[in-house]
Amino acid sequence: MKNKTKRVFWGFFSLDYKAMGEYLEEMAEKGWMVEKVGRYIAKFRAIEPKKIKFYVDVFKEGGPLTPEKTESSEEYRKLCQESGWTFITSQDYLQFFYADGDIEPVPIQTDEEIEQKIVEHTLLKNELRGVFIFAILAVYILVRNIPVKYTNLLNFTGVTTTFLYPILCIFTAIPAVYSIILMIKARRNIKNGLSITKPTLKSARRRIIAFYGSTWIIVLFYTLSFIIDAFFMPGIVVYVLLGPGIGIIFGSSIRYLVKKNKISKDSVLNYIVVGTIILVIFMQVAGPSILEKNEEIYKVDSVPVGYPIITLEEISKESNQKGELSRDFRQSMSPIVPKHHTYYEYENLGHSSKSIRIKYYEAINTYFADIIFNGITKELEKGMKWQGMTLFEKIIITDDEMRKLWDMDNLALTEERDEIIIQKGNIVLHVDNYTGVMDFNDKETRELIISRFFSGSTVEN
Amino acid sequence: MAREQLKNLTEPMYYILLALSEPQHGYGIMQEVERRTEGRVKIGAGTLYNLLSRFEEEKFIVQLSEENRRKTYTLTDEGINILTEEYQRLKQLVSDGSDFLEGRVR
Repeated sequence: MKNKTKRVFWGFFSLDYKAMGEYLEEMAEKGWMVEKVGRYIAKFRAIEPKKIKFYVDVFKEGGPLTPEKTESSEEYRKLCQESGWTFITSQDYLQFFYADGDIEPVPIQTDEEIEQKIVEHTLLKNELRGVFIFAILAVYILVRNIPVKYTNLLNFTGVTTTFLYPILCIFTAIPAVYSIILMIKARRNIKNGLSITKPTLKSARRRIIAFYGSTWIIVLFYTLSFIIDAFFMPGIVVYVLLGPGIGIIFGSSIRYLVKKNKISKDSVLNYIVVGTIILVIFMQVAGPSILEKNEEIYKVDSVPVGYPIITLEEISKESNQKGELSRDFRQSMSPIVPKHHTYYEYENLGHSSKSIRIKYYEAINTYFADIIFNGITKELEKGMKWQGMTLFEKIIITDDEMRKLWDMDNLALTEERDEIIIQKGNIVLHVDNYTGVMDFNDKETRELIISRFFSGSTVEN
Repeated sequence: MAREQLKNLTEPMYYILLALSEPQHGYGIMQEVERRTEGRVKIGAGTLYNLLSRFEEEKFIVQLSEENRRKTYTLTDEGINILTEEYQRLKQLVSDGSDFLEGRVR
């Protein structure tokens, strides 16, 4: 006898519980007896291949936050045991039993109407509750990201969210749609005095592939996006993942403790409230230090080759004054904007200061360059929201004559003419010149910017 | 679970209450129903558990004792009433159909 165990992916929808028994019978015939069923993984033990009957029942007093062993569950399992069904394991509402040998025990449920009511009040409710919470979150994220935000196009995670998140939402709706269809059919059958159609193992497997297959592909895209983005902005990625990460670990721990009867079900809400408060405080305290570390990473002395910039030295011809210089350079990339960098140079002259900030975007085509151009101008117009106030709002003007002179597709300036946003073909440039070191009407400045940043732009017709 | 008022008893409900004319534990009820109906009506453990919970909530039955996770129940006066009402209803059904059906039943 093989003395070994194996773990397999368990992706069944809870409403397909009737098909689970068929699957377990198949496994037993192949020499694997189920030992434990989790939400995503089931554990099997090697046995001599044989025919075993399985019964998966829905216990109305079970649930995700109910201990595995309670007085009522023990009473129910004993009753099943006496009628010929041996208890194996439980997973939330589902209870797994088997009957050995040639005995033909009476099925655990013999009244479809009662069974249907239990299913509706347990599995369906649970499934729909989950989908409802996700739907609120999904709508919130979709509303925040529609219309397409240019900042989302600058990193892999943003691009994944913009283009794949709506698809993820559709696939996550599958369980809800399936549950509702199944319940309508079951109710209709009961009303007409017919038997409830039992889902087949084949159809249950198709649902697993459709739901988890597509979800995993999107999760894989997200994981890869996070990894790639972590190269360019590790602090931000850590900060974004920290909250959900701690939340998942905390939630799973609470669930485990309830299941093992270490804490009572009634106290769960208190733990969640306290846990959330601690998490929020922790994020408030830890967040700035994580993001500060991120800032330090980008303080540089030199700029990598291939990233066009303009330095203060180049544009301050008349001034020989040298002050303390600090530079900040950060780059990122995405499938939509393969090249994007920000360069900031600041010179402290004691009584005054000089600075220049350049933001360069090289998109894959003009369409996305347009989105970036419009996004930046709108962002400047809207200003920044802080503690209920709007700060740094700018009035944006367009100067067609100047645009023609610069030979650009789009050109916008702030009213003070201290910032310019220009776009030609697939390239967008935003120059912030608030200390007035540059004159955008100056021919030399114009030629310097055009030759430095727009010599490689591609124009689409 | 929101409860609906019981109007008529289903066949399993009727036999479970009938079996509880004597104190019985769960498995005893299942055996008694099977014996009484000569195997025609079989009640699954899950169905029985749910019906016993419901009857207890409706106060049709009462728990007498518990030993080794085995609860023993018996009918209450309310339970006897509902069973009697159901018996009369069934008798009425039989009586109403007897004129036509009696000669046809083999």
